[in-house]
Amino acid sequence: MSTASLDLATIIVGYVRSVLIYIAPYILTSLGVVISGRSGIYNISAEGVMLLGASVTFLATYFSGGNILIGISYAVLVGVVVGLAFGFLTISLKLNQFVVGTTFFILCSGFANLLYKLFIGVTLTPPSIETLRPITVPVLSDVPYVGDALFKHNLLVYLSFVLVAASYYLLYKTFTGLNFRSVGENPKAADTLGINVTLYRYVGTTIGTILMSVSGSYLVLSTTGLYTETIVLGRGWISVGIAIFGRWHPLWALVGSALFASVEALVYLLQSLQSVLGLKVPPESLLTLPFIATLIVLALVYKKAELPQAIGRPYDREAPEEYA
Amino acid sequence: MSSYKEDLSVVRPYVRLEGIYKRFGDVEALKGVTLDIFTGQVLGLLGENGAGKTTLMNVLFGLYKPDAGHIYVNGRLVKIKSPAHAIGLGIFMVHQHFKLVSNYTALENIAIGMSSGLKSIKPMSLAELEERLNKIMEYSGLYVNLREKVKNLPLGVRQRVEILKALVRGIKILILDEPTTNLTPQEVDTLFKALRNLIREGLGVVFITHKLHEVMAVADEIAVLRSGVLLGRFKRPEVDQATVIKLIVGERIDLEKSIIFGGFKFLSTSTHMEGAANSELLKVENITLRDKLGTTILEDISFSLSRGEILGVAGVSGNGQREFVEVLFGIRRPTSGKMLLEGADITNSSIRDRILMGFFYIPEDRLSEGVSPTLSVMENLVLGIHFTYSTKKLLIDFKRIRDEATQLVKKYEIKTPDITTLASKLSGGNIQKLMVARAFHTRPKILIAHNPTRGLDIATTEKVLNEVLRLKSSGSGIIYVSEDLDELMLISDRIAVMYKGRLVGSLPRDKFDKYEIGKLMAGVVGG
Amino acid sequence: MAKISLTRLAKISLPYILSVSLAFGVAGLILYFGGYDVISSYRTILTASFWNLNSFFLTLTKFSTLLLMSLAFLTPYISRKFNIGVEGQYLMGALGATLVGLAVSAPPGIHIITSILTGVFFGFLWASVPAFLMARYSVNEVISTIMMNFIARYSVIVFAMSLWRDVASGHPMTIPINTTAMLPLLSSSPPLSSGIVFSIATALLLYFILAFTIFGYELRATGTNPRAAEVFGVNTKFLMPLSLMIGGGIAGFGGALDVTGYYYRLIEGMQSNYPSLGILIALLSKGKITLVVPIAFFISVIDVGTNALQRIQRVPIELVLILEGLLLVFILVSESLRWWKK
Repeated sequence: MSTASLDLATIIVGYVRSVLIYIAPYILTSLGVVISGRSGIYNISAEGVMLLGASVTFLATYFSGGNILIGISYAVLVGVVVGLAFGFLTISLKLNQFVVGTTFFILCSGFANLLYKLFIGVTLTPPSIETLRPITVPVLSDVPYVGDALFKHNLLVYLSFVLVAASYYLLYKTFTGLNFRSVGENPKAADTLGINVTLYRYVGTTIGTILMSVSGSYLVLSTTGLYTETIVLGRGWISVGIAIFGRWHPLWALVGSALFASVEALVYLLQSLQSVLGLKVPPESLLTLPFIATLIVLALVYKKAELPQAIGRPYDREAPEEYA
Repeated sequence: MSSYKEDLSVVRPYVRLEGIYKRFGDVEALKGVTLDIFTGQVLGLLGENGAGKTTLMNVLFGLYKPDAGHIYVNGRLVKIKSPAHAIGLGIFMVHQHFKLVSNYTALENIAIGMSSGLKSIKPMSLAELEERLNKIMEYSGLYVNLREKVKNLPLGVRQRVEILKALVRGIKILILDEPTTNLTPQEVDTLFKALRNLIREGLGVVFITHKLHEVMAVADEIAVLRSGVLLGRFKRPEVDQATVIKLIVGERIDLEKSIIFGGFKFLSTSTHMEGAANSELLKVENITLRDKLGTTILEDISFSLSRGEILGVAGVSGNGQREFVEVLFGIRRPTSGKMLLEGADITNSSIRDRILMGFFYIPEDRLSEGVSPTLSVMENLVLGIHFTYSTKKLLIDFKRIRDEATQLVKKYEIKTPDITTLASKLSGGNIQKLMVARAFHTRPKILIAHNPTRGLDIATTEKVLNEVLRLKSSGSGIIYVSEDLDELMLISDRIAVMYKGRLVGSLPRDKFDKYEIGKLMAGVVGG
Repeated sequence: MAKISLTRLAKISLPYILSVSLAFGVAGLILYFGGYDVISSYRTILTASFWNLNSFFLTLTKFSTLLLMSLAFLTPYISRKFNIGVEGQYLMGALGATLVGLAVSAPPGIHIITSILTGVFFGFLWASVPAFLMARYSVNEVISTIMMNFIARYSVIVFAMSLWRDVASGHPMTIPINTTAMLPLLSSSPPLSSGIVFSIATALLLYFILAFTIFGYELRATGTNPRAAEVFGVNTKFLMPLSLMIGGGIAGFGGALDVTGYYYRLIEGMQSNYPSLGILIALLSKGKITLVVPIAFFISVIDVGTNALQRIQRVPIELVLILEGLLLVFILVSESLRWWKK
């Protein structure tokens, strides 16, 4: 490696650029968990839904001759189906949300791998699909350094930021948001005032699962264009953690996502710099960093924890009042 | 029946409930009730706990579907599908447990559900709503700081937020379920005045209560319910109190001996009064409790409890009563201060140790703190002293538990198919009986009771009060925390008041005065 | 217990029979669309365990592990905690046992015992991190135990590739442990480890403790209503993390038994699908140990069956996970619907 490519500016630009590459799945999934949670449904199956979205996107894109739009559409469709099923079990049948979440995590992961094996099978060289091409934002991308780092990413990356802004606006600056959030805080209050608690919760859950599924799409459509069983690698679970210490707020979820994308980018940076820095660490030990980080962050913010008051509890209009 | 020459309200009732039947499992809560509700008057719906008053109004408010019967609103037959539907028809109900989002401001709470269509995704503006609410607060006299978060509002103010929710939606009939539960006597007066203002503006009010003196103070007409049957309807001036009381309780209570109805002669056998030596049981010195963030929850609480003494603790809910009993029972450790049991320092003793020393507790929140829902009735009856039922240190002596449980169920008339039935299948009243049975069974030296008769019918309430008095005469000390001032005045030797974490006042029985206590409850110092 | 009439028995078991049929039905659909022969697949899945003594002993071996995995999830579940970390705890138990099995030389009896105990201890310790975070910082145990899973997986790889790496193999694994650390076999051909005796003993011990001791009562009280239990003097703040750590110990036990009794080495990926299957078994049994044993056996049979199916017809082994997952979903649904009809 020539000394020119080692100068600090290049490294920093490269680092920021990679943070933005890795941030999208965290944003999309944690946003999905947050929106679902704000309506009162605690959906921990994110990891499984992401894998399923990844698998379906890959297969749909591959068998449609590289049509990425079809791939993403299938992911959205899967998100809807999973959301409605999850909603049915937790909202209409009022089953325990953690039990359903654990089961769906296992089921969706199983289906993801099953589908891939059924359609592709075991091959020597895994097939790949075309990845999303980066969009160069006019004018802004020509800014030295910053342009390379921030404005040459693919559509889904920009979309995830837009979604954060949109969710924040809708949830906190409109009547719809006020009504929506009340369903997760005190469904009895909302119900009495005419809000259709069931409908809002189904919508919240399904938007959540769609986001999780598309997050999985991103994983196969960026960088490698491959699908593997380990492509999600815990990001789904970390995103649930982000929702928790982001206090179920879209803007804080963004901050948390940035944090973890930075950690992930740091891991790869350290790995590539190993030979240069003379580090003799087994690569796997670096890979444990994001998980250790999650544990530390969760412990640090416990004092400020805040959740939607009714999250995780099913709503039953005819249930007796506390002091009945 | 409808000769209201004084006011201009319509002769036809706004709401007619006809032949309403409602059954829950094998309990018939309502047996063919027919009731008319008019605007321009306050209707007191009177009856003991479990009589069906709340159930009847819940049917009207769309929370329950009647098994049989018809509902007419403004002359038209309707099927009320949901609370929202009821509101659309001009009916609103304020329950005992408020339906408010504590993290929202009062204004935001009122705003829920008030927008529709495209307006909902435009940037939210609450200015117009605030304007309207200001006008309503003027004519009703019910003032609220609209910009404050509900969790920071005292209960009396939260109730006003609930009422404002109704008024701003143009309600015709306002139903209030036991609204005075969490109010000081002065706040009750404010509420009653406000209700008369609202009546003048054409509103109709249904006032559910089990207290005769309340309806006598505020209602124009009184309807009496017992065991799901409407027994009579009277205009207030025509009421004969004795008749009405008889209607409420039926034949089950001997009014001569009743504690509640004043037949019982209370003998103050508190050794505290006699100043006997060694009579002091519990001494609490300067107990202060601060939470993680440093907020003071309990401040400098000191008192002593003598053998055979019932210390009544009054106060509006939310002034630290919960934390107070938790510190006494050992669920929480005080930040500073001391507690001495017969001279021994027990400030930091564990709950289990306190139970072994003779403490026991009846928590106020029966569903979340009183029982373990998927454990059997039998297992619940020993929760707290379960470790004393062991043979050879580790194994549970099920036979002993079974025998004692069977006796308790009979003694306290706990309605359950079997002692192995899961506690979750019991009705609220029976869960309360379970908690009471459990507490008295341990024959505690010191009983800490928090709202022990909440939700109980009159007969059972009598039984509980009797047990409390019997415990007192056996020399135990009782700390009886209750929001029901009437009940406290019936059985306490002394009454102290909790206000904002402090224990204020200590009125002996001969100086009991409702309004004096009320002043203390509202924080008026020097009362 | 009163005599149960035949009709009542039929009524109780109907939803289970329906759920099993539905689950197999959906699996059948998947097989059909995958182009496999449905009927022969069904036959293989259900009978492969019984083809010969070899496959039967294999079933018993899997049963032994699955039983421990489900008990490891079930114990914390009784106090309402979700120990999704059984995977990591199992792996660390295996790692611990391998470590002692390779690094130490000792007479057979002592070597086996110390290896296994180390495994149990490692699993116990691995769960104590989330337990501590839960007790002190109210960290949700679902997330924390899963983070530990990932860390465990990487630890296993690092360990398997270090000092005792089996260079000949293409897959990360250690060389075999010393023969003195190997569990005696109940049968040598076909092989069956004595580990299964320990698994069943664990189940029995756990059942006894939960049903008949004060500790079991308090654990159950904590799970059904932690607040009420706490109010009346049960030390829930201690019991909940403790149950998590006991679960870790049980999972570690499973890992240790598999290393000393079956694989005789640490292999990356040896946990296979046992953790997920074990969790589903515990959820299916709704926390009743009496149900865990038969359900675990049933699932072992299906697992052996789908493995055979994969060898013979190349059906993906995920099928067993999906079957079990669907079974759980259908049973949960049928339970709540039955409550509705009342």
